[in-house]
Amino acid sequence: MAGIGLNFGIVLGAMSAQISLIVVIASGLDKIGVGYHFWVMFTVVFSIVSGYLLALLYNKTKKQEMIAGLLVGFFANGIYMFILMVILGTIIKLSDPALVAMYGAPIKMTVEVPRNMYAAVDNAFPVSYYYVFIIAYIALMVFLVFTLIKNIRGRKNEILRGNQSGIEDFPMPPHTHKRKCSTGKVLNPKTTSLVKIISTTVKIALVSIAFVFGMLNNTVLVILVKTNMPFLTCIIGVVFILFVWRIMRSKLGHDFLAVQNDIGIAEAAGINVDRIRMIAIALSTTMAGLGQIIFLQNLGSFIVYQTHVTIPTFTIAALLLGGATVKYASIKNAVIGNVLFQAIYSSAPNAAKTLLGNPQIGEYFRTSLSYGAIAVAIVLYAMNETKNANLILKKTT
Amino acid sequence: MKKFILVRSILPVFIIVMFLILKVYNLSAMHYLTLTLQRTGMLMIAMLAIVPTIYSGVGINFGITIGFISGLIGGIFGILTGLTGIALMIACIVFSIPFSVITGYGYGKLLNRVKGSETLISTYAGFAFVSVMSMLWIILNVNNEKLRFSNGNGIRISVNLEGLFKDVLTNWLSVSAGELKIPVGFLLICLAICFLFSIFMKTKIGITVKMCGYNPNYAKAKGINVDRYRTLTVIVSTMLAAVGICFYAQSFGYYQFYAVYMNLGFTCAAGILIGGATDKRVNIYNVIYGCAIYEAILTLSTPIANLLLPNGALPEIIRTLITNGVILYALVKGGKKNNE
Repeated sequence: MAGIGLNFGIVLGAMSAQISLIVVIASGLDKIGVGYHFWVMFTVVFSIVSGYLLALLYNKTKKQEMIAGLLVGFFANGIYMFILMVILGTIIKLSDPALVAMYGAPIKMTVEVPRNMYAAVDNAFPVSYYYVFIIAYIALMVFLVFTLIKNIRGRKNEILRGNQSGIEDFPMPPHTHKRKCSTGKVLNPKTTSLVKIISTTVKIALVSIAFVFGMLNNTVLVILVKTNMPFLTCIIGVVFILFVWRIMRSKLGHDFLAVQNDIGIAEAAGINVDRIRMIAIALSTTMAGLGQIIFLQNLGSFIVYQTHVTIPTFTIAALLLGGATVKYASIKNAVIGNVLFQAIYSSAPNAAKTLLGNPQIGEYFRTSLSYGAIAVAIVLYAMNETKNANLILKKTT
Repeated sequence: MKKFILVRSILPVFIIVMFLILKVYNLSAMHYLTLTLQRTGMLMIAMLAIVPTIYSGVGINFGITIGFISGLIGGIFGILTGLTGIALMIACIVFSIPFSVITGYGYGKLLNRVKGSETLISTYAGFAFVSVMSMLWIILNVNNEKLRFSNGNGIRISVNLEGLFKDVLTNWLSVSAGELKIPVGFLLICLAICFLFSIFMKTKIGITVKMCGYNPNYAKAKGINVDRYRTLTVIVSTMLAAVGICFYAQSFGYYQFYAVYMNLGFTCAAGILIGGATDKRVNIYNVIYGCAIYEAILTLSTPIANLLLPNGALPEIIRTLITNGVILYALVKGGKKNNE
């Protein structure tokens, strides 16, 4: 977004989250029960600062942001190690047994999230999948029945109108009218409304069958009742999605899009391009930091020098798998990509083990998949750009 | 420009200061000098591999990892022949050349399609290639104790070259004086390859390549097939990288498979950038000077860093910071020029 391309610098956000956790543990805040508040606060502060610095660099390397971001990631990793290994060992001495390593190294290789904070978000509102299932069913049914009623009413209207023309125009209710306009297709309303009614009925039938099957089948029921859904985590996810959705529809979001489309025109229209880019980067880094918090509290522990390194590669690969390109990405891409990528990520080693008898192939498969996805996306993007540049060249000469 | 010359002269002074510190603390400075010289030879050819693409306007080729991998394929075939010593090393180089030409050709074609963002593409093409080849290494079945994992299939993570061709060039014509041991033959071979390359750049083909780099539109107007020469330089670059990895393994004593060489491209790029090259302009002295300075800083800073802080990871941190910092600096400078 905001025309920067894929932000490989989100590793900074991940690092901020980890450093913040270490700070929180070291200062003993987790023992008084305010660990989470401070963790989030420190993360936001650190990631905004690092995002600001990153933006300064990006604004100096326009059009090269992606490679610069990649290198910043490596460079920041060096600084991160420097802080943790050198400064911690000499200037600040740690005393907390949760952090101090056995053999003289300044900090443990694996830091555990404190017991009272581990999976705290996940378990905050344990809601059994059983209820989630029922509520989801009821919500879906209400929605579908509502659609069905609307469809039938629409069909009645059409029959009353006598269906003279093949094109639907003004006498339609506003929402249907809008939808037809956006597709811009000339359809026969008689068949479409009929098809709609039939498809909605089929949907209702299918959902009901699935529901009844789930309720009657004992094993499914047991699984549903026994497992808890990480309710608060889902809610936080939805809140973040709504937040991004809201921003993209505000003045700021439109500025982002303007800068993305053409920096020159945006500048001519009076947008402070550098500032907008800065906001976008800081936002991206902060969200990465908060995302890392959720990730870590679920994981329970992290390897100080490794966990953050693969974050940008995997997130970007997931985004691209969800159908995003270098220039255009949407929330939908992120959600779908995330689900797909996690499915591949968790099933690859097992699949490779059963197919080829070696789980390590799966391990390499998923790394090569992420790198491959990024490489292909960038190549396609660059090819397109070159083609456009050639076209412009031909037009001008 | 004046500032730039200042920066360049600071580094040798810095190295001399480091030497003095070593002397003061009674560490064997000569031992570290020997190491520096060895490592200079070790990386010089790999660094040289970055140069041809800068000449032809492709830019810094971080994707020389593709060449390294081709070199590894050649190395496998070489070791399977059962030769030892210098003959094996030559065999490895000879075997790796056809692979590197093939991969370099495909890679060059790819880079021609994506003019304008070669730096990023080359990085990720390299990463993707390395990780795809990792899958190949693990399913590859070779009937050789040295190459195979001791418990079954797949190639070892690091193949020991002891008794194969470790140090054959380093020991050739080496002069020792006390603790100092200068690998004269090795350095001479590396320098010879560098100068052969610079002679190649002065032939008709080389000058055409340079013209493509300076002004592609002018070259096109002159009737030169720019894309063809770009592909040629990428092939040469990949080939040099394949040869470079043989030299690297010769000094290091191990062939390393899987993801080990993933970031070696950045190291090489940082080396020539320290030597004073930019992403548009380079000459052969940048390579030689940069390689020596880069290795000297890293090798000499290790014992000093350990003196200051007894922490094993500090040299690694310094390496990361220097390597990536230098490349970032070059990017920022290039960006400034573009904006103007």
